[in-house]
Amino acid sequence: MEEKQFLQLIEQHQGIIHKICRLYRDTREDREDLFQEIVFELWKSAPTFSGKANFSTWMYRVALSTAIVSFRKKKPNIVYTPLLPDTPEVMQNSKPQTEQLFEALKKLNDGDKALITLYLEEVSYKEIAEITGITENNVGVRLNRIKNKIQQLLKIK
Amino acid sequence: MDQKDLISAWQAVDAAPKKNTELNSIIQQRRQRVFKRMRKQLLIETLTFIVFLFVYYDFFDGDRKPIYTNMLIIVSMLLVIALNITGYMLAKRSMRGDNIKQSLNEYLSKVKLYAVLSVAGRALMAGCLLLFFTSVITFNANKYWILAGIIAILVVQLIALSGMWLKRIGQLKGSIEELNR
Repeated sequence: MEEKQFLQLIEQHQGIIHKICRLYRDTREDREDLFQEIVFELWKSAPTFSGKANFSTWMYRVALSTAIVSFRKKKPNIVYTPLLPDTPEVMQNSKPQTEQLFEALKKLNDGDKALITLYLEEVSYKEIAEITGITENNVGVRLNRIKNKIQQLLKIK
Repeated sequence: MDQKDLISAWQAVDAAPKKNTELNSIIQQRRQRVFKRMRKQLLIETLTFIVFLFVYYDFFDGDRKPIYTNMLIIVSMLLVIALNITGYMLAKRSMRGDNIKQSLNEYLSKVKLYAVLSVAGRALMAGCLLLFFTSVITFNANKYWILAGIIAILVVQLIALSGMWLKRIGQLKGSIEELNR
């Protein structure tokens, strides 16, 4: 794949990378680091993209694997500001419902986060099985469990 | 929130999109903070070892020490430099595998191998340095105690390094198990 074509595709699909970074990392700096790691990993892995599968399917696999294996700092960076904010930090242009959803999703383990990401991206169970390497049956069982857990977490909230 | 709400809340996530030029900088590694940090650490360590190799013979009387200790010190330091560079190259290599599970397993075996080599390399280097500096010493009770103290410090450092790798490997194994569960 040529550099120009690759960059165009990443530009088009970067929304999913931002979502994965937001799900797997807590601070802005860590999210930025992970975004860079994912894009670089995609570029390195570009020769393995045969073009037979969807670009997004290939991208989910590489991006989620990178998010799971990449090293994360033990503690979030503490930034001292002269004034205490009145409200907790929220993402720019983020709706309360989205904030609530991410708060619940962040409580899941890394494997469950990968599965629910694919489900929320409306990827079929068959494709989720192909991307993750677990059986289609297991995908269904696991997703039901995860969805129930999210509902419970949202209710507790 | 029902399933539809979950999906629409997910779809509604809005992040500032990066421009083509920014993405280009990332793939050219100009803006890669993680790799910049790795390169800096690699450079500092490698330069330190190289400077040591150039000056140790004069500074620490290499001519008065047995030749085999001189050889061991050079070989072990070159080995650690080679391992550091291999580690950096491994980190830069793309993740292989047809699915996430395979990619994680492949990455885990890479990390395991590198962890063993890294700890073994450091242990070898520490042992060779110790041998070099003690090769012409006539030991008495006090000197044996000092030597025991130095060995204890080195062992603690190696245990800490092994612990760090074991933790990292444990985290990766945990992620793979979470996928299988």
